[in-house]
Amino acid sequence: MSDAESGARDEARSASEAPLRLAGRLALLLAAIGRAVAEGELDRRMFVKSLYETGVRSLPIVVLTALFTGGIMVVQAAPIVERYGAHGLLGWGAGFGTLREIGPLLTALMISGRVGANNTAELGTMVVTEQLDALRALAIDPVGFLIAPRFLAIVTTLLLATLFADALALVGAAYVGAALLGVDPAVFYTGLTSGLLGFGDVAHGLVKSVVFGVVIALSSCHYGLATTGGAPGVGRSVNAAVVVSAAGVFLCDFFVSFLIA
Amino acid sequence: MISFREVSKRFGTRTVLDRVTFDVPRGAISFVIGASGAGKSVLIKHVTGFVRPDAGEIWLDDLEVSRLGERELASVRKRCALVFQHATLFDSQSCLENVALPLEKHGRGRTGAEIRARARALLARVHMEPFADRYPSELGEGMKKRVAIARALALDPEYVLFDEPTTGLDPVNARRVDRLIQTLSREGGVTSLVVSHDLTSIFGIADRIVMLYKGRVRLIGTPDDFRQSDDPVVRQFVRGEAEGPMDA
Amino acid sequence: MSDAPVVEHPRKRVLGALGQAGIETTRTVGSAYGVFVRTLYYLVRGRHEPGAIARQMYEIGNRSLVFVSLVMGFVGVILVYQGGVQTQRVLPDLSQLGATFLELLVRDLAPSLAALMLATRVGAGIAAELGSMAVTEQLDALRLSAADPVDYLVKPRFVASIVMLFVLTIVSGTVAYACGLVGARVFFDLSPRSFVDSSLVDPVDLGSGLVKCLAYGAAIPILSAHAGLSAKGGSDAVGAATTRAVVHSSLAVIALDFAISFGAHALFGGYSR
Repeated sequence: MSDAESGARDEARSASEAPLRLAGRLALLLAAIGRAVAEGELDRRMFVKSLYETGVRSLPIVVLTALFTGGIMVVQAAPIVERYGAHGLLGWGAGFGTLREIGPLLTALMISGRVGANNTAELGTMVVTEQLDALRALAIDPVGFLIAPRFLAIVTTLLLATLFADALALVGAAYVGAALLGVDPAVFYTGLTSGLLGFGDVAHGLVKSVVFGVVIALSSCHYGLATTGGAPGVGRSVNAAVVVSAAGVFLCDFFVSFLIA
Repeated sequence: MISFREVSKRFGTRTVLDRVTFDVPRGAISFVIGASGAGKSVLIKHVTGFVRPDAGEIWLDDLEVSRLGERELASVRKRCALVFQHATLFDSQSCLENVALPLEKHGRGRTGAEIRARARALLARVHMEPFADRYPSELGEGMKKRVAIARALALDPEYVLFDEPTTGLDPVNARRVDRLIQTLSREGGVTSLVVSHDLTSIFGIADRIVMLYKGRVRLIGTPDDFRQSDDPVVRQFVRGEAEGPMDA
Repeated sequence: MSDAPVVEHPRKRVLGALGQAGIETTRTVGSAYGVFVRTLYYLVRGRHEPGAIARQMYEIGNRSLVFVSLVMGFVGVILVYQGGVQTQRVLPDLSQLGATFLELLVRDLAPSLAALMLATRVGAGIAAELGSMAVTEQLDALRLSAADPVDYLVKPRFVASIVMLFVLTIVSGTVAYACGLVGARVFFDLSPRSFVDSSLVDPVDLGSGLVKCLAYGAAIPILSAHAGLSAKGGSDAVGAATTRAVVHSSLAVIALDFAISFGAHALFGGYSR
């Protein structure tokens, strides 16, 4: 019991690691990944494999999350729309929130929990069992072979998943709107496409999803690589990675919202 | 030849290596022995640059390893393989893929088929060819250790460092690994540096032995020198006695 | 064990993945429900240990407060900004912005976002801790001394999580509202007096917000503890358990959010207008 408790304390200490130093470490990792890619060290086969795995892992939760998100958005938009008696605006009301904020945010949080955490656990296990050193002993660059492929796979997956989740959430929203408010899905779609929403709103969300992907991929790789201390250490790393990812995602959401407004 | 010159290493306040100096001659099987925690593993990890000395130099032929950066170390690691104490196979890959990986990454073989054939030949050298398509989680420790040795041999290294190769193996598997190390040196001309505290291995296959005690070199010599030594510390270790001058 | 991190057999089909996710969800819900029932049982019949509960309240509540409040502060500004910009496309005036924002916060955003943060921060923590205990056989040691880990470990976290989620929701919701107020002033030049307007918050909003707090607060520790307790194997098992905890609790929050929102609107929708 006392072991576990001191472990939890260590985790909190590493999670609340001076933010600037953490940002510095993430930047260094990003630079190393960039260098590996630029110098052609990226292992293409590992990239395809990582992409496939992150895709398969993400699909079920992205589908579930997107459908629920659409439903939630309609239920929340409903009273506002009803207050003005403007059913034609339901698509707009649920749409802008989904495309610009909630779609990218929730997809990122879920993928951070599923793929990011999994990535940390895998890398952490490899570090703890010296598999990473074994790579170096074979004169294979771990960044090009392991880190860069995973990084790129996570960023790509999140971008595609957000695009997919946006569409699915809006379909879900249309049918929840029909069930709850009696708004014909056709009216909903008209509300979406009547000109109040444009490609700009979709792009806004997609730009965010790329930034979120970078944040999630970097922090999950960083904490995986920084794992020490056996099985409990892997748990602590995963914990720290998801917390830092979540905080980073919201923080970046704030800045990106204004930067590209 | 691998040379350690006045190598010192501390972790925190603990001195692990204290001005260690010795040479590892080519073609022979050299052992570094000593009690657990005597700094043996740390010592050989200096050779491939996994650990940096606080003071002193490590030379691999005419290269000063201790001065090289991570990127330059790649060339050292191709010539000097390290077999870790735990097998450290990549668990997401089959035995064949594990052995093929360094071949692929370093362009040893033009086609996939050629690489796979080479990997199979390497597995055959350690008598693991029938298990080529198994995953590490399906194998016992002794088998994994042999696959790890095959993987380490993939790049035709001149030197192979073994970190406690027989620890955690049953006696039969341990002797098989010993025989493998012996064959590599006698028939393949490989220079082996083995870290061990397994007395059967030490007196079975060693040409030369370096004993570390409290971070310093205690004795260098042949197995016979060790058997006949009247140093009480050496005597206690080689006889495996509970009572003696060594610290608990 | 499909999400054991390192074992991968990449021949799984996409549909297979979806189907397996469905089967696993059912199985997880079933066995997590068992943990839930046992927790409720021990709440009535188990040991009384206010010390352990207080320690968990500190662990779950106090140590998440800064994280959750910080995030919610940023969220408050973003939502007011995005909502304001969009509303301006349709309506000429923003006089309802503050009132609508408060309504949304009370009804949904404050409890749901705080719970998503808690699912990440606390869910992962619980699973990592219990998972480590499971693989190092500390749980078996507990069982051998005739102590049910649910009573000793899950119950205090359950109580603490429910209580502290209410506190976190109220505090971080207030922070979000205050930050939104500043944002409205800066971006749209809205006076704080017109922003602070609780006329749209009715008992149904308040009620569904509180029900959400209770539901999330109960679901997160149960699902996370369940993930931790069922960890088997080596270091990859703890990582896998932690992953499962975060995914299951976050999904539970989103699903409960939908169910409760939908239910509240379907039952009391008329009243709310």
